[in-house]
Amino acid sequence: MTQEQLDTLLARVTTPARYAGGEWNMCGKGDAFLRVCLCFPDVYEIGMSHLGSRILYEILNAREDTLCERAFAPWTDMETALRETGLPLFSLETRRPLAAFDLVGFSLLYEMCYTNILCMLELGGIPLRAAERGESHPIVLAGGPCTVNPEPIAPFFDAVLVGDGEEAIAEIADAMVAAKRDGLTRAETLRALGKIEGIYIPSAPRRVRRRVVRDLAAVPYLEKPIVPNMGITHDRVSLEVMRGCGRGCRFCQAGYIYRPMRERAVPALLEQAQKLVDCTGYDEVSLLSLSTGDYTGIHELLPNIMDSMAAQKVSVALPSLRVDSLLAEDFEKMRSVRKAGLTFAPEAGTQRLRDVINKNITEEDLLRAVGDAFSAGWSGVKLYFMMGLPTETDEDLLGIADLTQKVFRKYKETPPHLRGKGLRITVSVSTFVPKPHTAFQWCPQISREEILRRQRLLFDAFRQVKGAELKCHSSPVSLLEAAFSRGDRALAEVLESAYRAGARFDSWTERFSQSAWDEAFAERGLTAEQYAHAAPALDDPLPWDHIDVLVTEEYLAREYERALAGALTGYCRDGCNGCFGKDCKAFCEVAQ
Amino acid sequence: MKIFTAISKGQAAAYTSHLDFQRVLQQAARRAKLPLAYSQGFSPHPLFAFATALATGYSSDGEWVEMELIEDLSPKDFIKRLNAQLPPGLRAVQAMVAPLTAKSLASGMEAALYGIVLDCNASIAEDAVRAAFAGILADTEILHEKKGKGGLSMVNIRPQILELRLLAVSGSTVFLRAKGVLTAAGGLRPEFLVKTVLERLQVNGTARVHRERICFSRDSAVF
Repeated sequence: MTQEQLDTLLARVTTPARYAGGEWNMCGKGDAFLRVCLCFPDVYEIGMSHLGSRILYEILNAREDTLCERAFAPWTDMETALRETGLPLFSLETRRPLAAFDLVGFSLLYEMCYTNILCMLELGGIPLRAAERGESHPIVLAGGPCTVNPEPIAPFFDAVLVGDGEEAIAEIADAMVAAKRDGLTRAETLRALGKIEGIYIPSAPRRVRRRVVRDLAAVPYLEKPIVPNMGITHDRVSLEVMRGCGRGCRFCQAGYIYRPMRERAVPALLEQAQKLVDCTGYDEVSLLSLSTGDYTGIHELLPNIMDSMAAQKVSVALPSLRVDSLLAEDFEKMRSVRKAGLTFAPEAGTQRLRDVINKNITEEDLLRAVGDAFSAGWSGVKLYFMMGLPTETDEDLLGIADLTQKVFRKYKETPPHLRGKGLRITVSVSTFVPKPHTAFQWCPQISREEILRRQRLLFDAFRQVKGAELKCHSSPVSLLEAAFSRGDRALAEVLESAYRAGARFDSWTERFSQSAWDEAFAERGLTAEQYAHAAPALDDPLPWDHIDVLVTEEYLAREYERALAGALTGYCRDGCNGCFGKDCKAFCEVAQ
Repeated sequence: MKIFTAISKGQAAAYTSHLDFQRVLQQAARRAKLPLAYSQGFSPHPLFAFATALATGYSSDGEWVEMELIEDLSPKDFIKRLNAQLPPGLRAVQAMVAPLTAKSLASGMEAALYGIVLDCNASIAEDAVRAAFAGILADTEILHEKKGKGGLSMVNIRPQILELRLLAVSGSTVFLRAKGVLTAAGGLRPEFLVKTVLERLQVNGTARVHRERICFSRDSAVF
């Protein structure tokens, strides 16, 4: 694409920086033997916030034989501009059409981006279905957490990588280079890819085991990340301190599919933080993991990193702290930094229901943590809850309002000279979506009418609660998310129909098209409800049975039964619970 | 000390919005380890002041910025260190130590020169352009609707047009240069001028706008 063509396109869109490229640390090699384009099926500012694809970008570009570029979902104005000009969707670096790459990889982080995949393929000049692609077309690969149930998108992909990508992507690149050098056919190339551990070939289904990086220190981390020319959602240095979580919240897919817990060493993290701040110029570092408070080196890391960063006017953010891991002393250390909002996730309003979901947090834990935060000068608190969890009653829901009221009182009890001014409690209530490979994979989502009834109940209850704002998630999107997360291959047809009917960016409320989806389901004689509300028996076959994520089916069934009995399962570091079954010792240090 | 610097914005950086340009420049200055002075408070930020903003999509030969430093640095070193860290399309082209008595850059601005390339949807005769320009300059009032904080308002752009010259016409492409008022309080918006010219030529088209120079008053430090 020429500069003139690009200018013509960019003159027609609201946020041209999304498509302009030219960022600091962008790969400028231009070409190599193997061309890979990493695609993110959402807009630039969200895609560039995804750590995983940025690590893969650097790993691939570090190879002499490989070029890796990026493409993002075009916003609707750009899609229109591309269709009207007949220009193809292009990579940001060299502005090549997607069809000009050997390998096109998509990161799938949530189901509601699936229609954007189809849009990107079509605009990029690649046939939507793997079966329609010929020898000249790229191999289309999927990765990311959604691949633990690849069936609803299976026909659109030639290959699917399940699990950690750092080691697998190198093997994939090796296989692709060899295939191109030796002139292998498409079918032969796919057979070669299928031999790589963690790769699933949808046209030749077989049981596949999730890929796990055993030692994070042995694989590359970010060295020189791209610094976007526009503000993005997570606009800071991301430092992954740990992968995996051993808490075992029963609804949480990430908690199961990223096991085992693997930590990075404190000195390595301090060194990485400095290196990344130096080469990006960012003024904020964020410590990432599913539960940063569980990182064993946290009390060594925190004071060190805060001191060294403060001297350079760099602030440190700590998302994902568990309520019970928060200590008054951590707050004291953070006293000197910006008071960004604190987030707590009790997830359920009563102890009974928190026991069902294995969220080992008590009301006392939460109120103490909130009280400590208020005393350290915070005045903004976000509380995350879920609605429609298995066994939930109206009493559990009303518990959300009750707990929020107690948080408000805690603020009032905090001496005014300690607490910050202007209390803001935001209560965010999402609708429970049953996810594959969790203890709740057998549980139905509540009906649309029931979602609305419970939301009304909540809003009514919150009229009595002072100082809090209640936000609930849209029910049609939750229903669709539930259908696709536990969907089978038949949903691929629905997906394509909905895409043809104009569905795009389905997680963006203002873009969500109910009619497109209703028609698409009706056309195939299916309903979203039959998937979302399904309650299979423990021994029924499930569409994702062939994906082995290491956590065993038996363990999940046991957790499901313990949930219904309200029995807690301990933190895995306090004693192995046997989630990997016979593979515990081979894959997890805790079990050794 | 304070440094006055001009940063050029080439086509590769033209789509960086003004807000993002500020961020990008701060990040580059941090990577360059310039001895930046910071504001006080919980979220300290480098003390930069931009003379004016440039609309997204426009390029420029020099956008002026004031940067407060806590150590002395020669303008030559400043330029060298900053340029080693600026992303494609951005370049520090000029720098000077601000005299202690210097007023802000914004307060010294008077006008700006723009080079504009119009791509029209029909071929254009040179005489038609000359006639259109003469017509524009002969007018006393050319009104455009402006979206501001208080909603829509009408602005007369004619007094803001100081010079309007045709450089060349080639097929459906018109090359022109305009000098417009530009002060701290505002000035000519090139997109209004473009709209006026296209209207007078009775064609549709797109424009590429390049700010060639910001003109400062005679008593300004960067004149």
